Amino acid sequence: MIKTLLESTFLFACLYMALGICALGILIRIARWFAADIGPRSAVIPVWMRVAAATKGFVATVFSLRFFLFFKVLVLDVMLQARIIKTDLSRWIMHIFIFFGFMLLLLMHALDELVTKKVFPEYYSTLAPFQQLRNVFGLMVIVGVAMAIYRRVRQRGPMLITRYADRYAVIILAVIMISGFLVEASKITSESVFNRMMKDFSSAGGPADEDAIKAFWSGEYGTVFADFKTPVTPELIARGKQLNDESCGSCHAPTKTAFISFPLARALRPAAVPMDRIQADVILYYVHVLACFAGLAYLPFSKFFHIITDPLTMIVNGMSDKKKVNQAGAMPRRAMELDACTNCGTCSRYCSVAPVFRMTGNETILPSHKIRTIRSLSSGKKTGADELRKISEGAFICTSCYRCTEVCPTGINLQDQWFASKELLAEKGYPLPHVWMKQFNASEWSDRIRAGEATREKDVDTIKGRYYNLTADSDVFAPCIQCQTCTNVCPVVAAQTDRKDAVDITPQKIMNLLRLGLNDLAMGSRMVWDCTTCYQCQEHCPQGIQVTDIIYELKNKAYGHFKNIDRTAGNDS
Amino acid sequence: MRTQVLVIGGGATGTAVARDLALRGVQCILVEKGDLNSGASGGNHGLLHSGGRYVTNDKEAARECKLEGDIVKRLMPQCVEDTGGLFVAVRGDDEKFIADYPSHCAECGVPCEAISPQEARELEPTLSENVIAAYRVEDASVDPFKLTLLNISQAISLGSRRLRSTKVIGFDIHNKKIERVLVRNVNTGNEFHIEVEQVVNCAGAWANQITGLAGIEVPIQYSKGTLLVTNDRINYRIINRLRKPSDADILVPGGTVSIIGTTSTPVEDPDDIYPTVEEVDLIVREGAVMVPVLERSRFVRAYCGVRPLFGKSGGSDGRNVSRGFALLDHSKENVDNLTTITGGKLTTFRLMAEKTVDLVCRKMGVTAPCLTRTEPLPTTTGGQWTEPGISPKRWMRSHEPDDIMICECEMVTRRAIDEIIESLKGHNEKPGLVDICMRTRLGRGACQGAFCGMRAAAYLYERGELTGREGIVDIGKFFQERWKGIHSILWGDQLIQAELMESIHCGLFDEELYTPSR
Amino acid sequence: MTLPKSHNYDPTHVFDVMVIGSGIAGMAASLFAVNRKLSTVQAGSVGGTLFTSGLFDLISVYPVGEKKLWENPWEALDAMRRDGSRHPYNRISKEDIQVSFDEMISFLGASGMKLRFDQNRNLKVITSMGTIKYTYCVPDSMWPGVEAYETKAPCLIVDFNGLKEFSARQVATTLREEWPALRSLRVAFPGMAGRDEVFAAHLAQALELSETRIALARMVKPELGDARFVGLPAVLGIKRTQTIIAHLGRLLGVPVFEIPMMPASVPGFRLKEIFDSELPQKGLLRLIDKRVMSVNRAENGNFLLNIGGNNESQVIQARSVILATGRFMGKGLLSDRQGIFEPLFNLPLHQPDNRTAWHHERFLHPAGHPINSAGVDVDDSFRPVDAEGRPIYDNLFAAGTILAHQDWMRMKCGSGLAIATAYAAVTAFIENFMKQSTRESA
Repeated sequence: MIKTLLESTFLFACLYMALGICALGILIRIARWFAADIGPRSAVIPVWMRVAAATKGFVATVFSLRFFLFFKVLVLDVMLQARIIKTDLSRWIMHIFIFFGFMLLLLMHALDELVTKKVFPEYYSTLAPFQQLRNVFGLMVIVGVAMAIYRRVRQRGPMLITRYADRYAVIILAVIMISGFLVEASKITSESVFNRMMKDFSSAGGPADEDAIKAFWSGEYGTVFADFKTPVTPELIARGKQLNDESCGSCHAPTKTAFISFPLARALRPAAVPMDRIQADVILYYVHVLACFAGLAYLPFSKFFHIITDPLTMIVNGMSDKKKVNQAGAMPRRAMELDACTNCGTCSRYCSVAPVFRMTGNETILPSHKIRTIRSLSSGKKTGADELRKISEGAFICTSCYRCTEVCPTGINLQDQWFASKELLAEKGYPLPHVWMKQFNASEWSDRIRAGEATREKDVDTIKGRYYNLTADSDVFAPCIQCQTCTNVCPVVAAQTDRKDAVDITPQKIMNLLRLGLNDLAMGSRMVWDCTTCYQCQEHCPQGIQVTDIIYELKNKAYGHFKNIDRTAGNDS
Repeated sequence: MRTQVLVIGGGATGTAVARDLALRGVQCILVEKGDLNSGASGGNHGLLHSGGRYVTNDKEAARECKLEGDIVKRLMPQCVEDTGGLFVAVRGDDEKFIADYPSHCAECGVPCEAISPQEARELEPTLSENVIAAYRVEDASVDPFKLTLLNISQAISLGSRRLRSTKVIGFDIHNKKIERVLVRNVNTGNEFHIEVEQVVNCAGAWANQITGLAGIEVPIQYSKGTLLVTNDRINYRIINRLRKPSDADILVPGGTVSIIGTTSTPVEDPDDIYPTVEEVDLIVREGAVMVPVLERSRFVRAYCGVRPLFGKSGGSDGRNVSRGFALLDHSKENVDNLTTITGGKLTTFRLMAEKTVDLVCRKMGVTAPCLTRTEPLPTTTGGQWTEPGISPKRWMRSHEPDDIMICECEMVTRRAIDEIIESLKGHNEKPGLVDICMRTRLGRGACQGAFCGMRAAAYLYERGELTGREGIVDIGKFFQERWKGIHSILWGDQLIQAELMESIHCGLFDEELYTPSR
Repeated sequence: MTLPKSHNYDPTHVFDVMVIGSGIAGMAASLFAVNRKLSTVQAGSVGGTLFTSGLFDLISVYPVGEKKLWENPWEALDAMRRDGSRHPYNRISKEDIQVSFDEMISFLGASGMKLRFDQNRNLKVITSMGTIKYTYCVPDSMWPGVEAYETKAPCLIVDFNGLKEFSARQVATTLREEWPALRSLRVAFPGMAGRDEVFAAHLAQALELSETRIALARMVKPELGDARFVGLPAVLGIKRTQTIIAHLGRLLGVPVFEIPMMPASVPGFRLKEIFDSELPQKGLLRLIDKRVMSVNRAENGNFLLNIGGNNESQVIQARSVILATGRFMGKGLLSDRQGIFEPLFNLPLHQPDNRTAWHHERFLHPAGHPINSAGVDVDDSFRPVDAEGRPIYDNLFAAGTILAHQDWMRMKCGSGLAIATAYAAVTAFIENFMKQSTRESA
């Protein structure tokens, strides 16, 4: 194929242009990794230091025992994609089909002059087994793409986001594959290609022989002749076969072995002659090749960039300890990881707190959405208070259980991304609630409720119908006999050291505030926000009062009141 | 010691008289044998009547309540929670009464607005399903302790004096005038004379004991009313039963609690009153008809007060301004400078004082006009610690290091106690737990003193206010004071609390072995 | 502590004894039962032992109305017997009472809580109120206090800033008349100087560390003067009390003792710890903090108990039940305006006719309040009886303060009652049931 390509200066130029754009694009994106500030601004170091750290890391790894991990990662994770099989067999099959189908087509078919010819000197594209294999690989890709489309259509909704990049990827692959098959099919049916071949290679004696070959090729090999009037007899076909074996056979396996293209060719029969007249095979060829070039050029800017980033991520993370993050080299790595995410949604499927999304409607709880907010947070553009609140909810509802990081097929260190983004959120004025609740004392918070700065209780969108509403039901806390057992078993009270923070900090005082109807005061108290929910108080209460559940409910109610307060004022977001 | 006017009795009336006099430029000494609000002013419902309760049986009183209620709300808002009120009738109540009610209200100038039972239940979710009619009225909740304290505080700031624990035991009468009054300090036993120009007898239920010292008989009958305090606040606004006045008709919210009452039991001796178990059962039964949750509520305290009812049979009348209260000028009985004011209700206390002071000033030739109709009541420190919830709010806002909580239930801190102690010592009085309890909310919460009594005693020892075995005796008195209020309501959670209290103070500390058997 | 085998018990197993109640009576009954190799299961809500003071009373006051204090508790028991009192003690011989105490004391001693007593004498213990309490057994940690008071030796009482319920000054000045050599000292608890309030259990935990004790001793030693004893609030550790006392004694050079105080009681926590950890190791199936929600009877007379709490429930089958659920605090008895009732078996209760007779108008009325003597009537086998005196169930026993005709708070007989009646109930069960060969034991 490349022969034809090389003969066309146009195509040749296109190829090198595409290669150039691709290479440039890759370089630009890699460079951006070292410039992006993914993480808290307090951890920002000059770019050269990041490069140095990365290099140092690279060198240190290469010259250490860890280097042997490289082979494990390369074979298991990159080649065999073992990480996908861990979580989703059907997805693994889909991806293996696409990956191996495409790679083998690339090597065997697109780079046949460079690769296949060297290994198999007698290679010709229409010979067995290459013809079959080409179809096999092509079919693999198409099946894989079909599976991909099916998955995206079936699994809609928040867990799996499908963006234009995903659609583009599917479209480009589909175009390449389908056009490829069409090229082959059109070549099979093409009379002009046949005639060219006859002129160059045939040892046919005369018109009778020509007819024989024509009959044979039209009957067995799918060629469509506009004007073939000679009656076809078995003797003619036999003669044609004989001639074919002599002159064509060394390069042509029966076209039937192109088990996709051949039936396709048959299907194209009615249109074959007009197609041939317009040289459809050449057109289709151009489409096919140009589509490949377009894909190549666009690779660094498209989803296909993951072909580069994913193996890199797997190797870098696979060879380092995910739980010990090298801070200097962290930012470029995080940027690379953001480019490696393929939006497969596996992390969200396994997320421990994903069900909360169904209750609150805040999709940033889901890791697959959260990872996209990281990019916007770090972009340096100002994020609005509303947006920050949503993102911070997604951040603090996360329990850091590590599941998402375990299952990410790309090996992204999600845990580290979340920690870094939490620090960044804190810098923007949105740390975890029990931290920002500390900026005022209980009395000041209750003033805010009264001043209307916070939302009125009625408007608070609590999880409808799911609250027991313990704090409004005096039967719950009225039986308190003031024995102080709860306070005595509370480890938070035991551990308090700072007098300033120790204001209003015992479970008994919280119960009494409720008894006095001072729920507003209770909500902002230190006890409520430092409570670790260890349940000692509730389990020891001789009257069976649900102390811990009450404190937990106060947290939720307080958050309901205060979550919409704009905390960006004073922080340069 | 001498004064222009001696006011006897430190309840709402006496302190209002002192204030009214002071605002007219007349100094007085107020003597009280116990503590402020020892009588009816300390044992009432805390209700500022809209007048709605009296429109059928006492129209005069109803009008007075409406006018006076408005004045109190306007001039003493810091003592009032203007909640509004409801009159509700349940299935089985007198339908005619219900139907006639609005016209009676209109006659008395008492605003009353009919609402549907559903609306009533929306306003007050604890109302029974059986409510068939409801009217909105302008009732309000008032803090009688704060009222009394602020009245006397202003009088004192204008030059008057107040003597606690000072009992009047005799009059020196010459030429139809009381020249000197003999008083005794009930704590120290010290007796001394006060020279007076005028004597105003505001001793409420004890008025006839005072007039008796001058040889004058005033017919007063005593009616005890018992009330119950709930653990936490049940209702937003006052709820009255829409029927002829009877027992357990009214549920009044006050700060962090609700108070249900009352009863009317004749008693012989106003000093010997005690809430009984029978009264409590009656109140809960009747009250639960209106507000069913009362059947299950935890009550933290029962208390009673004595209504002085001025009997009309025989005796001198003086100038009877209303059937509600009786203003008696004893010049008819040849004691020219003795005036008695008795009867009445909390809502009209200012009016009673005004009428009384009008009379007294006429006798003295003082022409200054009454200012209590127009002067707002200033807030002074000293009245604040009785307000429920104020101590915790203050403490949560900010507090000094070491301002620890002594009473956890009501969140009373040592700073409050320090202030009370200083104020008591300023009056040469020995601070005890009972006194502190009167002036703060110490011991008024769920534990009724079981825990805070101990802490307060420990603190008083630390301050050197108690030595030797005084603490054991004092805590015994403190518990007895609290016990009076819980004895009749000891079932359910309250019984558990009482058992805990006894298990600590008797079971562990053996305190009953240290207190004298009477 | 190894996990007791109990967690894998066979649900069809029939236990010999189910003990209901987590107070001293429940603990004692469980102990006596497992010591006698009965298969035993115990349940009850938390709280019972947490309110104990650490002292073990036998009896100190009788008759209550006369406030008569007894130096020798056994003589008080004799007097009760002579008077024909219906107190549950009268159904148990003095020997048995002694045996039950011995067994309990020996168990507690082996579990790290040594108790001391003087055979025929009540001991006098000073309390945080400044009163003197008569009791029978005193933990080792409080024993030097008894000696100190008896000899009126020079003694220093120390309290901690922020421990609001305990004032050394109060103790010293209240006792000053009879004990002039008593002094007081306030210190800031080591490591908690910055706090407004401190709590007993946290102090106890801190004292388990030797650096706390060293720092404390450093503060107290210079103020010792001629003191031959040092008294502290009862916060001297939860698991390592013996070590703490010994260490402090060494550091200060004089014996150190604890003074019992108001709840939350650290000695109570110690008792609970022992209950939780030691008895299961002896074979008790302890369903910690689970409550018996309801009881049914099987056809063969065994009890089927529904155990619940925390949204789980299970059914236990037992040949007998010992009801040691306490009084109102323990929810063994419930009350409403109409009367008191026993919630699990609906047992008939000895009680005043109506609520007007429950309490006196004086809180500290010398005769005590009649409602406190209400409760469950039993026969000599400690089985609850009906109006005719017949046991309601032949395999239901009752022990502890739920019993009628005793006012433990005024007679100061709570723990003795619990231990002795638990003993009597367990032995009665064995007498009546285990001797019968038709029933198999575990």
